[in-house]
Amino acid sequence: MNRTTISILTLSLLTIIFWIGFQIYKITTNKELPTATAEQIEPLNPNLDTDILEKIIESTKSVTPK
Amino acid sequence: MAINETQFRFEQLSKDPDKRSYLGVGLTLLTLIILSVLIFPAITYITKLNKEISQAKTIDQALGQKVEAIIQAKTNYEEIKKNLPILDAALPSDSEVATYLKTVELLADKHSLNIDKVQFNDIPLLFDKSRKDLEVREINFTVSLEGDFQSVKSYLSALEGFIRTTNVSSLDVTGETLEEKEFNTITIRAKIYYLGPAVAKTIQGTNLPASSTNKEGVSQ
Repeated sequence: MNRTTISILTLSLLTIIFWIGFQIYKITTNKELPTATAEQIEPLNPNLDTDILEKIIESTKSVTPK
Repeated sequence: MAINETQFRFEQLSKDPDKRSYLGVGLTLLTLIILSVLIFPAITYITKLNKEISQAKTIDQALGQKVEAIIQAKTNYEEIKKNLPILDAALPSDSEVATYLKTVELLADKHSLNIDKVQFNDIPLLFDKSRKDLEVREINFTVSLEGDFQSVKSYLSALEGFIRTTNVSSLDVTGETLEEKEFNTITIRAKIYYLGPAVAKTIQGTNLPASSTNKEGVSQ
């Protein structure tokens, strides 16, 4: 083995280390969820606007055809 | 035999310290490269698994919150359940023009008015009520009435007080005198609302001519 071979091996090792590091970075930074799951975990507001309902009831206490 | 041969070669090699060093470094690098390539799939697989576990925890937490929200929503729904027909009547999930037209006619009859003509614009025909993009849409309509002006005033009050939300946008009155003359023609332009999608198949300018409505304001 000579110096050139050692350089090639060193560069190859560095490339492989960078490759592994990049793959790990890519996996950990990927935050995409499947579309179905994203829809399923969408927050749900359980509060109903009862004021509107009361306003409708109040407003319809006037003339209503029988 | 082979061991002796290898030992002999190594001894020959070890006589030159430079060659020995290069060989040692080279073999070390080669071993590291081979090991890296071998463990690469395992490392990516472990990273993916960790990522999936992390996402699963997030999803589990979000779903737990959603279940709580659904339980709360069910309780709230039970509280207002008895009033839902009122909400459906005020803002139907279909155009329900026929029902509304019947009400318009009944009100006209009740206030001693004759319907000359009724015209609805852009009536939605069919759409999927389970769609998520349902929003409040409006239907414009015009109704021409004949009768006493006072009756028209009370008719308008009744129309606007009807449970289905109706907004009167304009009123045209034609006649010789407004207060005394019994026979005025009044054209009311108004809009009603329904819950529908952005685009739905519509009938444009549905016109109900005078021949389809008798003087008592009932469609034939």
